[in-house]
Amino acid sequence: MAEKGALAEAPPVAVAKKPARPWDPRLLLEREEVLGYLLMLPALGLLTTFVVYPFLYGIWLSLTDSRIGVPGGFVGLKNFIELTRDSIFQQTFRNTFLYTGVTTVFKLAFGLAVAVLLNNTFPLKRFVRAAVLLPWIVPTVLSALAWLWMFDSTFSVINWMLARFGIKGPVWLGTNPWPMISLMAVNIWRGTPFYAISFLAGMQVINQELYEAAAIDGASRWQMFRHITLPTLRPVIIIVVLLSVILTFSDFQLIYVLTRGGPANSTHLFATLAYQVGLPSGEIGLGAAISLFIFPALCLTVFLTLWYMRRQELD
Amino acid sequence: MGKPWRKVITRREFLGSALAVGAGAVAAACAPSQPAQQAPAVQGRPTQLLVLWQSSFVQEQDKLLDQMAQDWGKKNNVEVRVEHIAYNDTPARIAAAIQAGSGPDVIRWTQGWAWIYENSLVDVSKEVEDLIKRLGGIYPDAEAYNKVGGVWRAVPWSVNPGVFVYRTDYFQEARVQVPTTWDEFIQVGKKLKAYGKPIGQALGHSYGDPPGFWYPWLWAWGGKEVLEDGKTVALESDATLLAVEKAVELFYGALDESGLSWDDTSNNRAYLAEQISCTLNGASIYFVAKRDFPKVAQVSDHFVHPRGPAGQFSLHALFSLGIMSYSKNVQAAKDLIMYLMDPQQYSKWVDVGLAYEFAPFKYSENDPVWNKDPKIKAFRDIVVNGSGRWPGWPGPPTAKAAQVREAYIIVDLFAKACSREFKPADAVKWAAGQLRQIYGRS
Repeated sequence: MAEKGALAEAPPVAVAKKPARPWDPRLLLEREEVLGYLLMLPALGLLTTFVVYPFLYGIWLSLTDSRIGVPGGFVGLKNFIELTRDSIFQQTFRNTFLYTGVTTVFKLAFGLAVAVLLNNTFPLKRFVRAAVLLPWIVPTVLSALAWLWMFDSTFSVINWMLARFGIKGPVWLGTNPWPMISLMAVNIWRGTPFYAISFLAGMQVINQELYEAAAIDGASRWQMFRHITLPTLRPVIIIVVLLSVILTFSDFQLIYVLTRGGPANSTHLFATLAYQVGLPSGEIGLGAAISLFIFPALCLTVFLTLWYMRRQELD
Repeated sequence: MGKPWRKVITRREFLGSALAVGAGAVAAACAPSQPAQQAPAVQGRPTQLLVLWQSSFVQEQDKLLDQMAQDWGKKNNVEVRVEHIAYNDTPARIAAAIQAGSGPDVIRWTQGWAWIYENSLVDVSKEVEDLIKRLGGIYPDAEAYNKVGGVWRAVPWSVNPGVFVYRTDYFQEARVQVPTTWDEFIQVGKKLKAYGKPIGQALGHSYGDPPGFWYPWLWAWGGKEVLEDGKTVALESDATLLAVEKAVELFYGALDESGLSWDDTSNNRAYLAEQISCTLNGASIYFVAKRDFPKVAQVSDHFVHPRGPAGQFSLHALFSLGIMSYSKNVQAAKDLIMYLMDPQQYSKWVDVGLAYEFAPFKYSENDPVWNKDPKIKAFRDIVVNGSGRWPGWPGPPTAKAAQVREAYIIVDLFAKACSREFKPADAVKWAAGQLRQIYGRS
């Protein structure tokens, strides 16, 4: 305090220096609040170029009757109204929700089971943990091509094996409901490692003392899982499910390689139908409208998830 | 004391320099590009030409095409790059190129794409008229696909007809003859299926084989998408219903039922694996059999489309070369196309592919390739006999007709009935509704 008082009483020394002008461009950069925004500009530019602009352009396209190479006029919500009346779109809508719902439930269950198994100590633990990630690491197109071969009506290795047991395998990608079941199976196979490794990471930071205390109290393994592992893991589960739902909802590669939405549109999802209508058919306005149907559903999913997480934090 | 050579850069100086560099880069990027080159630069920096081409089932044709393009490029100081991609991936590349206003200078088109993208294609009427004069005339479907509103928007490059490749030994053992009508076709198929070697036909979402079979099937029974005006939907008719009912009979009585999952390659594999006795295809099955499965080739032959109550119809894959309106090398692109179309080059390309694709100009009827193997003459006959039509027939192959094809509405009309998702009458109603929706759009 004394030092501060001494400084305050000191005679002014900056007689020769002009008082700083707040808008002097040289001095502006010295101000943290200005500099902070300036440093954010490159990231903001990238986000605007690659996220905001395409998104806004997509919204604009969906409100026009644009075709490839032909700028269209504003048609309001006509594209959306037309889509709701279209039986192929209705079927796609049902397919997308069914596909996302079923695969998410299975990936969650399998992911948890695999994570619990991998959380134990066993020989070659690190190798097995790395190997489990393989389906998720391999590029989707590559693994989808391998599955295409396995589902092939002439050379299916699955049917060949079934035949050894006297069972005639179905036409996996041809006769309903097998095409959708096959796609779901491949999606679950591919997505489970992502769930498992994320859950495993979450499990490894759970305080072991909790389990030790529970064991002393005589809790069974199931009770420990139910009352310690699951509640502690809940934030990780929510984030993983959220990401997975977003990715599964907009799945394209798997369907494009395996069925292209066929037979008879029975496996179209929003992304594949948007592609078919928007690009090969050239109706890019209508295609954009199909893509945007994903948006409210995903917004709602994100909102509910984040709301739930926030409520958990407050509790 | 700091070192005299080491200048401390202040935050202000750093940001100022960074902004200056950034502004410079933006200015350079926005600077007008070099003036468009309208002709190959014979001297100096070579012109660059990018050609987008679908990969062929017959790789020998691709290799020779690349070689011919390179040879022409060297002579004319043009760097020609031919990029081969899958058929089914082409629409995405075309759309991206048109929307961005840059990309391949020349794109190989198929079917009615010129109608969908006519605004993005250069007028090549002078070149095509010249070819028609020199090459003895053109087939009607090649003209219908590429002449949009009286203007040639692409140069017809090749026709890749499909006919039925069949196993002569299986036909003999099942005691059946080559069918000449679709009713006979169904009966022959039933016997072959009972013999254990059914007919194979794709019914999935794939570019070539499914439309190649089901459009002619519809027409042969008297069904049609639209009337001659190309606008009035005419699918909902007794003839279409008959076509769908006959398709269901064919599917369960004569076809390999896995066809619902098939793409354009599936029937090739099934035939060469001796799973099926007959299938509609281009010459690729026979070509590959001759090369890799000579015993299968020996007992294989071809027949043309049978006739239906309304006549004989076929739908050929027709390819054309379009020059993009954004191209800065239009003249070089035209020169390259005209060079490749010259019979001196073109005949060699047809020869290595054993007529898998050949010119849609009438001179090709007398191409020496037809004397190489009598078994391939069916591919010429189905083109020469004038049975070829196009989606949207009897109207023109409009953009709407192309959209119907791209959306697989006609294929799915039959697929929905054959998979028993819909009864035949409901399938017709569904498809007619889809057509009305597409044709009704502005």
